[in-house]
Amino acid sequence: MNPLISDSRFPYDSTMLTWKDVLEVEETQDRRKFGIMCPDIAIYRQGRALILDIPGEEFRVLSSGFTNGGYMESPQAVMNISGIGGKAEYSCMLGGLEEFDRSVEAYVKKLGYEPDRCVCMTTAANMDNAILTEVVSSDGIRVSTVITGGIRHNGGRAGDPTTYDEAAHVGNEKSGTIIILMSIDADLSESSMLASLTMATEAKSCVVQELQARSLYTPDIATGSGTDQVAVISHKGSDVMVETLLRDSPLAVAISECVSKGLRLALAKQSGMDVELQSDVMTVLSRYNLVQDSIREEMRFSASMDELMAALEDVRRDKYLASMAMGVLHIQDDIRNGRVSEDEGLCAAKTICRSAVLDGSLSPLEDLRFESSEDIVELVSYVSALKLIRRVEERRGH
Amino acid sequence: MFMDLSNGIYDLISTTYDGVLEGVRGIRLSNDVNGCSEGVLNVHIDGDPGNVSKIEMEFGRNRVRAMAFANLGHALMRAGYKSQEGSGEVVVVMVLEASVPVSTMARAAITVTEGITSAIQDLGLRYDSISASGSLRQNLVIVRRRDSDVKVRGAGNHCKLGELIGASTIDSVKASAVKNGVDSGFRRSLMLLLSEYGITAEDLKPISGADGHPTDFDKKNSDGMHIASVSAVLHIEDCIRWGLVPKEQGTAAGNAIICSCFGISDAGDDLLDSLKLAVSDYLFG
Repeated sequence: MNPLISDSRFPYDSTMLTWKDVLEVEETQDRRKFGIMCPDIAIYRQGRALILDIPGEEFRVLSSGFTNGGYMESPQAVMNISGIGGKAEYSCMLGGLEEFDRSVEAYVKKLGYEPDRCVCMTTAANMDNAILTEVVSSDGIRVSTVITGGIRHNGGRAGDPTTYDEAAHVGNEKSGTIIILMSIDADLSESSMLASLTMATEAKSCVVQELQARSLYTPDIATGSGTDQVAVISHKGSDVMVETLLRDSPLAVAISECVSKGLRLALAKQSGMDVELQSDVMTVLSRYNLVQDSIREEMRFSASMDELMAALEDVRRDKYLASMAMGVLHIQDDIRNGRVSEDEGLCAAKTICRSAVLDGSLSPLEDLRFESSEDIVELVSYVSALKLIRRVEERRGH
Repeated sequence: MFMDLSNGIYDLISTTYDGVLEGVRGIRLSNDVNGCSEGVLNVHIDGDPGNVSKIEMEFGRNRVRAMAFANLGHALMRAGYKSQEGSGEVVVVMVLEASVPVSTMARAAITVTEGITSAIQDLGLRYDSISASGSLRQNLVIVRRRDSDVKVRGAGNHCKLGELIGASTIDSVKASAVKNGVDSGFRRSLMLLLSEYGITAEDLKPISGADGHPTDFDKKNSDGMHIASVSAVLHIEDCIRWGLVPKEQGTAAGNAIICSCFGISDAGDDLLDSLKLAVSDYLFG
């Protein structure tokens, strides 16, 4: 066992179920067609895998995945594989990355492929939730993506603090990953493949921003998850050569569009991260750790639990309040990024909350507490509690 | 500006060079054309090499060196959108002082790209009303030290090496952007905020009936409380455009902010029109 990797859910036990036990009994005879990516790459679902069956020798892949990643000529397949889950998946981690490699290799063999010739990525997402998208650029180049994604529990922003130090074998990874497998029906130079990988990444971060998905580690908006992976498949047999991928070229636009369309659907399908959830005022507030329990601690509500919960449901559906929360918390972002001073930002937030959220009506006690808020997060927490009790009163018909 | 790599055996991948370039002795950012000669990779930049920034970060045995050139005054873009015109670019060289496979170098390219986007978002940069995610011209060089005794495979944000890659990208991009004239204070002006939506002082004057700039124009134009409120409204406008909030409720919220912060009693059906009305009255009325 790697003594520095620990998971309190699964205390070490030498008789514990391992990935090998699972692999032995796992069914992988369920191979079925999932779709087609350009140019004629058949996609299959088999066992826990989504398999891009590469037709022939005229393909090159660049991938950030652990298994046969980097540049690879003429792969047999590119795969996205779900983890086993539970204790058995944890048993892979106990042996470190070598054990992980062995588990992937064994599974690829079981699927009927040659492990040395397959580019593989792994994730917690279920492959039935993968989204296949195709876009044709305005100059006629086809781009396909098949994406799995779930970052509700692992959203992060570049530079976020982490505890996992691979160099010192300390800490553990969290699950939640966006995997983008992309094929382009053109013969891309290796530098253009890398540029395509970064273009797809940038488009991914734009989708995450548009959903205002939070980093789980800071109050920032995420740019992805820490374990996201991308694979770019180039068709060497194509007559269309791309020596240099210009970032405003029709192909770059098509890559962005394909990732954008596919990822939105994939995030919604895998983890319910859609517009409805992301515009829920409680989701918006959670970015600054303002959650139901902390808001309820702001005051001793003169209401029953049923009344409070009913009012909370009302509030959560209120897109005016969600918009207001997004606007006010954006001022806090401006403060953190040095675009506005703390005093000026707080002054604006108080003006907005008093007039546009609470309609100016505050009792002397409420006014005292409101004005005593020393920062925007404290202010929003108190205002949220006031809004909740106001909603209870409205529902009572006061 | 030169990054010396003669102290070990280094390899690189880049958006300016095909394949893996092995045994690199150094990387230069200069006005010369892209290319490699005698083990030195040159990456072209359209600007003063003196505005390149260098940053080193380490945690335990993890160590990175970053070198960036970021001219973010023009040529901004958002992935999939038409870019801004003009001269501007981002180049990041990221040296991983670790022996990693090429797949990890590719993963580092993902982290660096997210770092550039983060820096641009932190600076609040927009063009043509669009929130930018990168630059029209953007190149990366990812370097590994093949002879390092630090052998890792993770370079994502989830691990210490990835954290250092992301943080050093953000810091080096911002530092170079400052040298090129763009920093967090860049938008500390109501008119600058509105100019990103194509609204100029000349557009606002006729609305309020003013001829020239009032004497207190500069003071009001840089008032933080009003800048914060406009920034909040523009963020809501973004959220409406992204489909995150319905136009009706988003516009109502934005208008309520405008009315409360600018002391006007009524606003229109369009947030930008409401802002024009309120800001023209505030600055020129």
